Amino acid sequence: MKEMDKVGSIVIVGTGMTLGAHITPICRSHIEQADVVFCSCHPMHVLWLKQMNKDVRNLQSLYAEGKDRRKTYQQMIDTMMAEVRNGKNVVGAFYGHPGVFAWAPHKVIEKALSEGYSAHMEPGISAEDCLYAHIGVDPGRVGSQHFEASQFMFYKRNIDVTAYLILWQVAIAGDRSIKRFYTENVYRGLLVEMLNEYYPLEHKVVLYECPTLATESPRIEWITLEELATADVSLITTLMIPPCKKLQKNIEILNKLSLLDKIDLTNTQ
Amino acid sequence: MTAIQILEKLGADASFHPSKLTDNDKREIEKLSAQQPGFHAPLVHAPATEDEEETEPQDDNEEK
Repeated sequence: MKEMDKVGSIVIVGTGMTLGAHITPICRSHIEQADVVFCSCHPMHVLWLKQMNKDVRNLQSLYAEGKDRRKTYQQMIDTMMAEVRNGKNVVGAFYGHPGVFAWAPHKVIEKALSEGYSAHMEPGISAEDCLYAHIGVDPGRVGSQHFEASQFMFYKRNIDVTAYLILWQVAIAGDRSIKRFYTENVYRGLLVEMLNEYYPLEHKVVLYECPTLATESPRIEWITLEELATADVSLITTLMIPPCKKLQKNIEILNKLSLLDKIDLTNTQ
Repeated sequence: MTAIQILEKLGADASFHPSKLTDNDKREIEKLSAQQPGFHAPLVHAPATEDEEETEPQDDNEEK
């Protein structure tokens, strides 16, 4: 049997952020037609998925406080791959966009493809998409930069204070153990200290949480940067920091562009 | 409709507003929601060693 003829497949899909509102037709179709659906979603989403497919298995039980999440992610991959190898058409359903801030979905596709199985990902509506709509921010206006909060702390990054800065997973900012679901205020205090090198402490930032159910409202809470350390945050809280400086014109390039504009380039292509 | 079907309709049907929910609908949704366990977002926390592998500069000469 050729590798590509192997029976068994996996499609990773996103359920979107808000139940019922965000799932795409193709993601829903994959869920409905799968032999087995593995999911890592909000429990209400799990109940919803169970209406679409009779064999829905929850991967959330693999998480545990104090357990290295790398082990959890690897177990997710192993669990899904076991059924792919059994010849099943498997779907992995992850909330939001399955390929955004989620390690296992990308890795299971890599693994399946490396073993000769059909595998691909379908996008979903992410928290980032919802943030733009709910807060009313266009990332194309001045640009935006995104970092996972802990990674932002662990590595030296260049921040552009004329663009939006969006930090994800601020509730576990500074966690090096990869075992925790919350870090204390002092960790976010250190994050504030880092950010204060670029932004004044009185700079207004926003804490955002996307609603899981249509009966809920998004959390859009404006606070000062200084207040971030003691703010109430959870695993679904995202921090958005608006620019603190205006865009600076690149006079040198603008002058060169002016010169180019005056040249007849018709015959140079 | 079950509570989940109501929630799905609320999310997907623009003409179905929460104000149309009956007290019983609201009770069922609240009851179902309260019964659910906690939720762990599928966080990404790539191991540092992997980060380093991904950011290592590529030496084009080795490829040729």
